[in-house]
Amino acid sequence: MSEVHILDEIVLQPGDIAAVLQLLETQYLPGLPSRHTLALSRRWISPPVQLEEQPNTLWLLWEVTDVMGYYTMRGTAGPEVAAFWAAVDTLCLQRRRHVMADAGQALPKPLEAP
Amino acid sequence: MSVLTTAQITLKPGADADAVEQALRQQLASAAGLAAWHCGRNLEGCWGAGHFTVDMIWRRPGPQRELDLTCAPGVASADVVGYDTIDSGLREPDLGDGIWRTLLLTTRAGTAPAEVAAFEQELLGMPGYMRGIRNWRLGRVTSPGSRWTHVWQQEYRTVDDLVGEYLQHPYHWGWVDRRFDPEFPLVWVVDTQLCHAFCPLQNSIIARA
Repeated sequence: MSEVHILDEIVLQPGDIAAVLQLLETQYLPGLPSRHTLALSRRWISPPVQLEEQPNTLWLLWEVTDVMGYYTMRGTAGPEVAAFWAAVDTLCLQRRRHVMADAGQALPKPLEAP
Repeated sequence: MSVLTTAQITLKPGADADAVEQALRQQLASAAGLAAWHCGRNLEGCWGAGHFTVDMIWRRPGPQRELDLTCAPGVASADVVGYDTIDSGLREPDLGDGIWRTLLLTTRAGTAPAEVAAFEQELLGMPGYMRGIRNWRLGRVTSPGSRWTHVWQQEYRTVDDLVGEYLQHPYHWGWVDRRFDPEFPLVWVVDTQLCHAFCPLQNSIIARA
């Protein structure tokens, strides 16, 4: 398993989920081969039900090959990536991104001596 | 107190780099008002950078705080940036034969001052996690019309400390890097055009200012 994952948290009205998934399929995923080190691992929706006057959250889990692959992923993002997120931002209510590592590893701490 | 400037020197195609370096060094050595200077040839792996990194420490007050570095034959352009120190630190003031790294960056227009201040503190937090950063300085650009807003400089013993610990530390890729990444909503504050330059360091520059 890769040591680096990225999780996108996209809060949407239920009626916009399909449109965002369509954007993902047509605008973002086709560019992944040329980014070399990034792959979509999973996608979820929560809660898994449409509620009255409450949005859903789309979770996109991405896997990055390794730490240096993180910079490759960053450096190979073309204008289509920015266009994708700009389109998503017109549809979503809120969006956050998280960079994550395995929870079992020891967290690097501030150095004790300067 | 001193006035600090750093410059990225770009050569004309086919220019003799050795001759340009010699001319630059002669010009710097004879410049009035310079308290100290450093000229280093940028190493492979830089991006958005020139061919040389030149740093100048001017006496304050001094008769002259500018030098036309484009007058040397073979020089195509000189991106000269004056800056004020926000904060700096010295672990190894007598560092010699090391690596001098300069990152020039621009915070995005319209970024809230509080967000810029938070970003500055996050950059300054890096040495607290990375022992390989021997000396460091973060500066705010003062040159009118410069495309850059900040100068982030570090001194290392070896290139491996820069491309190893610095780049591969989770504080970098898992924390600070989000400030440079347009895919991050809300916290992206740095324009994607950067100057990442590193060159051999004869003696600590930061310890001299």
